Amino acid sequence: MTERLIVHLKQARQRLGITQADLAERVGVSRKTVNTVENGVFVPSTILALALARALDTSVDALFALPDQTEA
Amino acid sequence: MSTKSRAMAEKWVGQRPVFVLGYTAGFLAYAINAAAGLASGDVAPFHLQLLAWAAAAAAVFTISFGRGVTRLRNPEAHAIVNDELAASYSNAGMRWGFATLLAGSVAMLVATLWTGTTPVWMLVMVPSTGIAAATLRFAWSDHRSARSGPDDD
Repeated sequence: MTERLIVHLKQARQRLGITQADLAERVGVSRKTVNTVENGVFVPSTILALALARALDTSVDALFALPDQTEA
Repeated sequence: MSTKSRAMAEKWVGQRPVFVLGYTAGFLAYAINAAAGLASGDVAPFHLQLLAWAAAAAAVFTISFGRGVTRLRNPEAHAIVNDELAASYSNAGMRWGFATLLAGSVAMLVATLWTGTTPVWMLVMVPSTGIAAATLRFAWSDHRSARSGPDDD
């Protein structure tokens, strides 16, 4: 899964100084879900990706990228 | 949502794989016992045995793919327990369950053609194996995701 999607969720979360549990509470999912997204095990739906971006006050593009977009 | 409700939901999510694995093992043991009883004829009336099995199967299915057995009454806590990740694993479990059910049904058909009558134990074991395959796949995915990486910093 990690080959298909580059995830910058952890960096964005750390920038705000919040834990996975805090982020999970803001988004309304379990901490396990945030953990699996963060570690590239689970690819979130568009709705969850948008909710994560809103909770972290950033854009979906800043959180997730395709491998060939990393240079951009 | 209160902190307590959220903590309970998170606790259940953490314990869920072990719990699902445990009652699936129990259900399978029960199904094997029921199938052996049906095969030997040393059981309660057939329809009662089948009814008891159906109740157990429905319970296992509901617990795995429904709202679980938690005492969570808060809808938001339920949403956490049955969030997107859990739904994804449920779907994977369903796929495995139906594939196993299909394979078992084909085996039952072949056995029926071979012997002339459907082996009665297969009526219990085929759907039981399908349900067990679904719940085990769910439990395995759920367990593996808990070990996907570091929790926090």
